[in-house]
Amino acid sequence: MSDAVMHKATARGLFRNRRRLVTVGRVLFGIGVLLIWQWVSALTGSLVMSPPTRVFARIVELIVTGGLYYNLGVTLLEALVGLTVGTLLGIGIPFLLHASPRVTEATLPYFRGAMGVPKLALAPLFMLWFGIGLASKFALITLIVFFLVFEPAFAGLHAIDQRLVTMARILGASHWQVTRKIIWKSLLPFIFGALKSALPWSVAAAVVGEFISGNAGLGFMINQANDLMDITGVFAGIIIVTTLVVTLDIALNRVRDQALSWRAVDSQTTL
Amino acid sequence: MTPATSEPQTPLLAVRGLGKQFEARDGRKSESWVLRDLSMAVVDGEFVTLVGPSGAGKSTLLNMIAQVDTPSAGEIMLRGQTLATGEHNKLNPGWNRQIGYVTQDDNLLPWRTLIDNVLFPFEVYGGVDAAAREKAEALMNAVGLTGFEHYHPHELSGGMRKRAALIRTLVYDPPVILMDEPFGAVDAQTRLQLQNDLLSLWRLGRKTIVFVTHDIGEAIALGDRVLVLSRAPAKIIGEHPIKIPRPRKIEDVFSLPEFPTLYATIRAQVG
Repeated sequence: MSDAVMHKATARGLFRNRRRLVTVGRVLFGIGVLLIWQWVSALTGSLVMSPPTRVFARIVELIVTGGLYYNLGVTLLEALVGLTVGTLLGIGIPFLLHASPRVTEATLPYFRGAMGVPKLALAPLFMLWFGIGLASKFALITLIVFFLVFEPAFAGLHAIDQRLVTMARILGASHWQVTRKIIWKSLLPFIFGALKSALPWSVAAAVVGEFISGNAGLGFMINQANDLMDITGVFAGIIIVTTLVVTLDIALNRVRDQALSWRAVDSQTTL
Repeated sequence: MTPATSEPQTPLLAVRGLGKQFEARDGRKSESWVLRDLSMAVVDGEFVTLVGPSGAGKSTLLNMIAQVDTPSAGEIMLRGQTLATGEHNKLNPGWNRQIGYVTQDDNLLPWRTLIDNVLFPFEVYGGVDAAAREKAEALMNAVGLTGFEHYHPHELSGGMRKRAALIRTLVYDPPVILMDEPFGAVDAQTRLQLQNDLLSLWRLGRKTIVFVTHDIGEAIALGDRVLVLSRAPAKIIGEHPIKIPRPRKIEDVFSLPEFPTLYATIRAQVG
């Protein structure tokens, strides 16, 4: 075995060891957090902080009795509808603006300014206008997602390599083909980047909306537990929301890795 | 190749009194001309090379012929038909696939495999059929890219990408092909290989080529005729028919007895 091969082999071995160490570290860290949680809740008493054992028992109970599914479904529906509509608008409007630099110049300050509006503070108004049902949540989430997608999509459209566009035109591509085969493809990494932050926000906005007023959803569930001083219920609700966000994020990563599989850097660098 | 409609005297491509003024920052025409009173003609099947100092507007000239930039004066004609004049010009890149353009950058689409990049001209125009695939594969084979069809551009060397960019233009048979220092930015060995590849491909198809370079040796070795451009404002200041018989091998051209004199004459003109 030559030196180079030896070196490579040891390097690979070290790498494997390193990965194993990271995994062990992760598990230990998780256990540590749970232990501290358990210890603090013992100190403060379960009226202030519910111990993890009880919280997980509650989650299992919610799953087994089926009390979870309706609320989970409502929140998921709100988040996904808001996410879809907000993303479509967040991509569509930059596309329209891109077609006319003059309109862009005239309207852009307003879009930028509107970004400064605290969207969650609009939630009570939306309840007033659209009622306490799904419509007000759809509106709130759509608005939040729109502003999260708008800026990256806008920046992405301006960052497109014009040389590729020119090349395609010379090869005989129509405007529509350029849009679909060059511009859209170049935009995808920006859109996935935007979705990465828009997705947790869509769930968070749904929960806040249900919190403020509503009669269903995970936010409603948490709020109800809070009203009843059911601290275990509050913790269980928060853990469930977090799990939902993490699950959706993993799904998004899968879709992204599929769509952007051509890229040199992949899931290795972005988690 | 081209139909026999054009008489032998009518050049395939003609440029008359062409000029280009760049717009100043404030949008008005500045007084400085990049190119002025430039005239040249290229006959069907001819390989013309253009040399000139850097910054002489060589790329600007090709951009105007390729219809991706507008002239400020003069006219460009293809088979006696006016493509653009200083007064009236609506850009039509590639003039309905009559003019191919191999640029300095390979401009391969990073999200497409090599074969899909080479098939792109068919995909946007006419469709990818068995004949198109056969042609693409034959060309890939001719330049030694067989086996790399399903690689993405970032996985390949600069020389391989240049080859792919070259055959992406050859594959759809445009009557005129413009080349803007297509073999810059590669090492000497690869460059020689690419030049020989180009000569053997050209021998098969006998296309009309306008090849821009700042390398005098390359201009002599490849061309039927070398045109010399002056410093800005650029115009043609020298014309040198190259009588070296074909088929040529680039490395042999450099050791021909007439080469040093030819080189020195052109060198003196380029200044």
